[in-house]
Amino acid sequence: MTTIVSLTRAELRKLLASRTFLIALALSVGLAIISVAVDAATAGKNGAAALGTAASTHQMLKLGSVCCVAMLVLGIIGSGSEYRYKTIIPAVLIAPRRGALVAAKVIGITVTGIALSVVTFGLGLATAVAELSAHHLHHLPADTGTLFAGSVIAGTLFGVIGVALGYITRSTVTAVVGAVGWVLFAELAILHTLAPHLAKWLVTGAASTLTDPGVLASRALTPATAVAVLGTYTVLLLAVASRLVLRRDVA
Amino acid sequence: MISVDHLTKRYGTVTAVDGLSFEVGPGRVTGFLGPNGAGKTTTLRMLLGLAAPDSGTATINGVRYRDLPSPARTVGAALDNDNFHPGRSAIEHLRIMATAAGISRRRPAEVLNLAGLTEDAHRRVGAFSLGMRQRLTLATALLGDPEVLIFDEPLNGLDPDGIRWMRGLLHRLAGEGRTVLVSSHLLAEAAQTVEDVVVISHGRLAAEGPVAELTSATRSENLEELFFDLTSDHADDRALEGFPS
Repeated sequence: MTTIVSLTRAELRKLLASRTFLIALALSVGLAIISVAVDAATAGKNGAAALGTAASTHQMLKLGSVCCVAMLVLGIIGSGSEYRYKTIIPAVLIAPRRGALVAAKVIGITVTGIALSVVTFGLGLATAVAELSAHHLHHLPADTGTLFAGSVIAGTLFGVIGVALGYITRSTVTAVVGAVGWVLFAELAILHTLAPHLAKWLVTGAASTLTDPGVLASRALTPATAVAVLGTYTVLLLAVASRLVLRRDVA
Repeated sequence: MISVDHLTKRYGTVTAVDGLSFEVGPGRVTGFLGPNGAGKTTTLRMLLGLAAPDSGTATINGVRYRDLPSPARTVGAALDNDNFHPGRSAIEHLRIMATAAGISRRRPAEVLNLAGLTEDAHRRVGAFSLGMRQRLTLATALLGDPEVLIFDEPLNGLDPDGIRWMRGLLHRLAGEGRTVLVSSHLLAEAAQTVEDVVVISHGRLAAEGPVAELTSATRSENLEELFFDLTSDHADDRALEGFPS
């Protein structure tokens, strides 16, 4: 247990010492605030819902996808760069029972995912509240709390998926290309077209249930089921990654 | 004490290490010598748990590396000199390693000083020269003040001052009763640094023992001549027939 605590502290130290985390946080928060501001500015124009309606506020609070993308990239960089820069070698020398390394990496990215997602959604929500208040509107949709929690959970799980992909591929570029390729081609282009009834059971389908108010309202999946589906994908990928990390020679 | 017993590693049809056995004791600098491709690095990686042997065992103080209760406090290993994130400073790299290993916060500054890098503590490692990275690799190995030290080609990239400094450091560490194993293919430098040698060729043991005894037994003039006697293509049979091992 002491080993995992020490390794987790080191993981958090690595994240805080890297510019990548600060850049991801800044981009994530910046995109969330700009997105909310643009949605508020365009509300009621060109067919968009009027400011203050549930539809308009829902549009402003579609912030979970930003958290998911930021955490996926951070997760991939967190594990993939260990191989890119060969820092996996001193890491394995410190923790030759490599399961502890994977556990610490997952705990570290989970803490980071919660923090980044809370800050991103929180500041986006604060911007939305400020925009609404400026127009003397003081009402938020009832599912705002569910969206907040869903975005934090989805963002965090995407971070862990990123860690798994980085470990599996041992390459940040391959993992990013693979993840984007899977989402764009396998899920959106092929599976959504050929078997749309399966879409809700896919990674992006489950994440959309948690982060997109429109999908959430359609009740395609309950939030609890969506968490279970996304969690299952995460655990499966992590199991493959752990097995590879434990068995592969480190060169 | 380092013990390697009938260690074998194959990569496909290539046998990189072939039933290798040797021991390295404390208090002396032991050279681990062999031509390029002889299996030195593969052996060290198996010893350190980075690669799994196909058969045989490699232990430190009688225990496999992965079973050591506190590996970083028992063994300091300096393998490649490019195991750093280039965006981190030297001190940050050492602090992260010390945090992971549960080592005191003061230690990173101490080992940086020992490696002669105090003035460069806050420089990004990506801007370091080869010699500076070699020193930082060494500093990382010394973080846990370990009793066993394993260095793979530690003289690579060092200038003459650095080589002299490294030589002195290795002798000092051995003089403190530590076990010091140094792989090298720089024979002239090894001759001035090591007291014992383990020589391997084609993944097999060619000879092991004190340099003076081996050169005397083989009537070699020096370590270089001994090395070529042992590792030339015709030397394998001779090694099996009578060289001390």
